[in-house]
Amino acid sequence: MHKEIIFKNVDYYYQHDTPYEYKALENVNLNIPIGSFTSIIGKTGSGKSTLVQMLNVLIKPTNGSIEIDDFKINSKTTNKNLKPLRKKVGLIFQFPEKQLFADSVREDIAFGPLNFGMDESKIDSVVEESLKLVQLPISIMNKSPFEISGGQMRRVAIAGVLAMKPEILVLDEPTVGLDPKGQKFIMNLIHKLHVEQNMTIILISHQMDIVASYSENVVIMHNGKVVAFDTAQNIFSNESLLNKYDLTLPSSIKFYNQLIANQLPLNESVPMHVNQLGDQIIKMFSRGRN
Amino acid sequence: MLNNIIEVKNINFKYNDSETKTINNISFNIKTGEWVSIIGHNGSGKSTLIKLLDGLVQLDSGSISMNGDEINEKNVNKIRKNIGLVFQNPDNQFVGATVEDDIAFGLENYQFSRDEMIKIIDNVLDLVDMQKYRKHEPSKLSGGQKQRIALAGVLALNPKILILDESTSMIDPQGRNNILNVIDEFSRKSNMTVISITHDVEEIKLSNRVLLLSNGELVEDTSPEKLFENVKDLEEYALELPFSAQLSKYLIKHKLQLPNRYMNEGELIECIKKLYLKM
Repeated sequence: MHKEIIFKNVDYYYQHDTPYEYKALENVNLNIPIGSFTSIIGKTGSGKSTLVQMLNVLIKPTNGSIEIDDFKINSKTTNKNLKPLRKKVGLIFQFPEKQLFADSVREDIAFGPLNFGMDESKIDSVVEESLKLVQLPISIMNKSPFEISGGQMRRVAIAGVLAMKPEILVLDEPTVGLDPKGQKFIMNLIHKLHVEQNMTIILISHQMDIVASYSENVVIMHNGKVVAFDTAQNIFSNESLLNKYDLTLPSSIKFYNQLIANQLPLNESVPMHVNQLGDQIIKMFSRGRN
Repeated sequence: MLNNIIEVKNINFKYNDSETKTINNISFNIKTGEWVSIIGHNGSGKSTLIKLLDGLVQLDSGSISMNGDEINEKNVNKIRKNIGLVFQNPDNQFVGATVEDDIAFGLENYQFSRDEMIKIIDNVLDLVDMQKYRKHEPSKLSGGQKQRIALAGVLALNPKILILDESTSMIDPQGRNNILNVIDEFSRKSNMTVISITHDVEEIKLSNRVLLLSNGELVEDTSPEKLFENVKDLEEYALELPFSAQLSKYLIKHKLQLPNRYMNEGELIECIKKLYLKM
């Protein structure tokens, strides 16, 4: 695997060459490190979903190119020979459970691996392994995906992507519509895949608390352009940058700022999640006043 | 005008293939113009409850009245005209080839003149800040933009009751706040009642009242402030604690001498400050 996913001068037009043509991506240049946890944030309609759909070549750049490992994708790329790339990059859409279609959970999870040429004899163990990853009981395998709960359907859809053993996992708002417990489960799962399997994670999320807690890098998109790319710590320390693009601060930093405004000496870099802020406050008390 | 726009009495409902009741003996009233959040874990019965309110599924027992009329098979279509329902996933709701066609489609049943229709469409697209997308194809919009359009389509019909089923979940936080303010203003102007299923703590704080469902039962009917005080273990109901409560919990666990009750952010900051200055 090459070290980076490279977007070079990428433009994308919807309804190209029609009167309603509009530019969804404009001159995107971006190098995403392989092995990183990178989140993409930005207002509704800023081009986030368009950008990540290119990673799986669901759409191709109108201009410019994308390099993933040995693959180079541009407007002329044909759909032939893309299977190995599509196996490498697992894409989980918004509301992935909408795409469940088979008569049983097993069949649904097995669809991808079979499609990518996995031997039928290995399928059962792969399905079981994937169900284990998303912590669903093996017994669910023979149920119809439509008779299980919404939260379970989401996990089955994710299991179907994980069954292909992707090296890069792209998730577009994976927690939308789940209750907070379900959200936490999905985020912990993604975190685990990143840490334990060194999977490259590319996450789109509007939830700044989630983005700050889990990401190493953050990309900000605005009107189809990449306007910032930096470590999560640097992005979230830069309040004026976030304000400029109508993005909110994570709760931990909002609270931190209020404590600082109240002259409480926290003396540390901005906290990325609640426990970090908690530790800073505890330390402040153990230092004592001088 | 009637004080209660909705009266729900002892309603029960069970899906055919289910062993347990999805809605178990629930009663509540909603006042005209009120903004009510419905919360609870996935599978607690929230979505079923609003389907019952909209007459999309039928009660096993009990009654629901809108504006004093009890919903039955005969009047359900008439009553439904008062209700604007926006689902979480707007893909299931679009019919038009362009954004403006889609909104116009909903208006066509209401005998508006062409000029009136254009005016209404203009107005609602302004409200949701989507004017420049009026010629776009709904399916090509982003998730959050679709949710804005779905909302515009429903507001165009000027409903007496707006029901939102996590209908702003894909809009960015800043955009969501704007949309919630737009709905709030619209509701004040036209005395529209708002019922909203949500997991968002900020949205819960905005509402007048919160109904907490768990396993088909109504376990709490209270104000947002009281909810955070009353419900000892919100996490048990798969709800997220407000940030101040998460932080208090962590600090108490690490032996900071904080009172063991719900404090909002202002109170918690005051408390930490006092404690620090006493050192």
